[in-house]
Amino acid sequence: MKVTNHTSLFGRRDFIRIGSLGALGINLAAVLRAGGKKDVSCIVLWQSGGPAHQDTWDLKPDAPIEYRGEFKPISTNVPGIQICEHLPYTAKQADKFTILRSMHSRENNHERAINYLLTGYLPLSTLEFPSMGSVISKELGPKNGLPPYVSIPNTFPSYGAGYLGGEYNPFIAGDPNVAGYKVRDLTLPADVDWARVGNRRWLLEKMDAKYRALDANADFDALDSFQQRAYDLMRSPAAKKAFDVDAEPQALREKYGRTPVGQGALLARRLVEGGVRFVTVAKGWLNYDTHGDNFNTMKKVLLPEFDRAFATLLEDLHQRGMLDSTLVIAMGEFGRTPKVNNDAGRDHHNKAWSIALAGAGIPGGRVLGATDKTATEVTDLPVQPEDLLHTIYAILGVDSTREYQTPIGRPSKIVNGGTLIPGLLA
Amino acid sequence: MSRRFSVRLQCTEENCVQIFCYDLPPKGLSTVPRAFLKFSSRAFVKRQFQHPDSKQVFLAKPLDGREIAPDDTVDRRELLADWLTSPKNPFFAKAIANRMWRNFMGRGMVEPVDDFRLTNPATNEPLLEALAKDFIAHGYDLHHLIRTIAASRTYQLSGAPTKYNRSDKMAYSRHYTRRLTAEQLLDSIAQATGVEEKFTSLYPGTRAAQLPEPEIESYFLEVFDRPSRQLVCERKQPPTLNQALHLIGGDTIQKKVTDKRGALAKMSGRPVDEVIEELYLRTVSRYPDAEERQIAKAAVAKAAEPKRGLEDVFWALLNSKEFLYNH
Repeated sequence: MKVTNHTSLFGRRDFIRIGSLGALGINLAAVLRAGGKKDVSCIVLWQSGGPAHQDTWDLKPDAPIEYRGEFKPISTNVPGIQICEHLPYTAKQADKFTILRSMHSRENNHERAINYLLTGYLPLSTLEFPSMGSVISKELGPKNGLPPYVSIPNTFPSYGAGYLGGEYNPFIAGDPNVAGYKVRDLTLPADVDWARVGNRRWLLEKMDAKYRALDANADFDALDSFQQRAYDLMRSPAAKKAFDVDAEPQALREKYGRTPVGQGALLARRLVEGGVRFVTVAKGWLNYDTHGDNFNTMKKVLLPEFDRAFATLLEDLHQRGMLDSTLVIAMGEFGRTPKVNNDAGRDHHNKAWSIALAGAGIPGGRVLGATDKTATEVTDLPVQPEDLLHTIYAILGVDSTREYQTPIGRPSKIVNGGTLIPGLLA
Repeated sequence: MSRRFSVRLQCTEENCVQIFCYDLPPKGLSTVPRAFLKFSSRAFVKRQFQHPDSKQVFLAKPLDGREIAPDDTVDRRELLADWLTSPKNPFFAKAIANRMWRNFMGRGMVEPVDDFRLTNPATNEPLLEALAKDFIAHGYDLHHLIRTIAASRTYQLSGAPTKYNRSDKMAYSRHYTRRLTAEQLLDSIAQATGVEEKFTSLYPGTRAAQLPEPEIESYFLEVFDRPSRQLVCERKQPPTLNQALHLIGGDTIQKKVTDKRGALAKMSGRPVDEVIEELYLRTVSRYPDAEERQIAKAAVAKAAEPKRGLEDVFWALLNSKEFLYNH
């Protein structure tokens, strides 16, 4: 396997050291303090499959046609920043987010790269590391009886809690774009009332007491804790309200877009309002894996729905005064090859790609990092998943250098190293 | 891909030249072993491999050692299949024995179940060897293997620990308690309530365990983590909040418990005592003791009407750990 070590190319460590001392300076303790005070939530618009960076955030209009592809850049509401022409709504919100054009990963296979980006570790066959949402669940716990970690519409590989145990797995919200959307099983069956529930729980407790004494199995506790949380959730007015996307004005729903991603972003906002700490919104599994027909798929389906969802989410959060306390990230597991292939597609490219970050104190209207003329290699500010996760955790108020114990008693840090992305918060 | 086979195959080069060789361990990129097979659809066409750095060309050589000429038209999957079931293959029988053992005992002698390597030895190597040998001697007969395991004293052990083996997690001194799988649980609920689960486009009476493919729609199976049958060790089924909600608020249990053709409906009119006894037999396969009868009767008495009280008893039994776990 060929790995390009960007760090050695232009003294990244030096940059960080200078950054932490000087004008760019903001150290971990300061970030943790700020994060801790504000109670920051996080919404990830997950672009599974790896969106082409050169067709979204990092266009190369001067590159030869076989590299630049068929999309043209458009100006945004921030002078000097250009993005893809198929992100017109997002272009009007550019003052609210930062584009990071210098991500790179050591994994070039979907499952492994997704695992890496969501856990901060290269995948191991012997140990499953917890994903960000699961760590946040464990560290910060539920608020207002709502689950701390919610996944829309479904859970996918690497979303889980790994060695932390099923208790910290995401709550599955379903697809809010279906007519009459309701979270499944959140209400009691028609002929069961809370008095009967009391009777049932009393019975069950008596029955289990005897069996529990027989064998103390580890996941008994997780089972019981989920049952308790299920009752709490069913009785929580905050939860009912949070999941009720139908309560949103029609105009706003249209603005987000009547797509699973659009309505998912809207639901994510309601959930964060209600007290959910970490929400993942995805269209599905590997939707952005455009090995063939990249440009049509992107401009007809993927980009329009993302554009409405992302732009409206930022605007909506901003108008409600929630953007300062909500970290919004749009990302996929890697970028796509600089050269368009024979099927008008682009293949996996992990050496350079882009993501967008907004809110939670991140100043908008900026581009950080850079790639070369064909968007092949990072030329400035290389950031790898460990750095990104370390920074995200810091913003959310979690010190990712803390150690957990794996089931066999091996100490394991929340993230496998990483340093704060210089300048992101400054 | 690698996990579809019995033993883990590690990817050693970008874009997956799958090294399928154990007698020639890879010693870094400069000495890629000569025996390799590439399993992607494109690779079946490609019959040689040029090393990216040394430019040396390697011919494909399957695990029995025979080299395949670039113009040979043999389907390499056939060679793989031949090798998998060849008595000379030291991995296959052990891997299957380990898998079957895990299926019945809850823990493989080698865990994770496909992680066979020198540094991860079996908890009981002689036993695994013996099972594998016996499996080969009986012509790879799975039924024979299952019968051997199921008839063993070890398999017959109770799940209740004694003070001596409470902490045992790998010596099989008792049966290890584990939750029923998605399919087992749904089938058990259907059987206990006497109301079968209906799956779209399948014959009535088809059980969850008999579903021909994982795409058959069932929220219950999905939420209890039915595997997609893509990989061999993907079933993890941790408890989740969605599962808890489904057991409490969902329609699976409630509908079956109250079904007019169901077990409880058929018992209407019989004395409460008898019905409670029958519900215990149907769910946890034993009679309730005196205290349990008392508790159930008290719950029935508390209910608005006896029928509802009995439904509550039935619901609680179907949600009890004794029912949810294999012990």
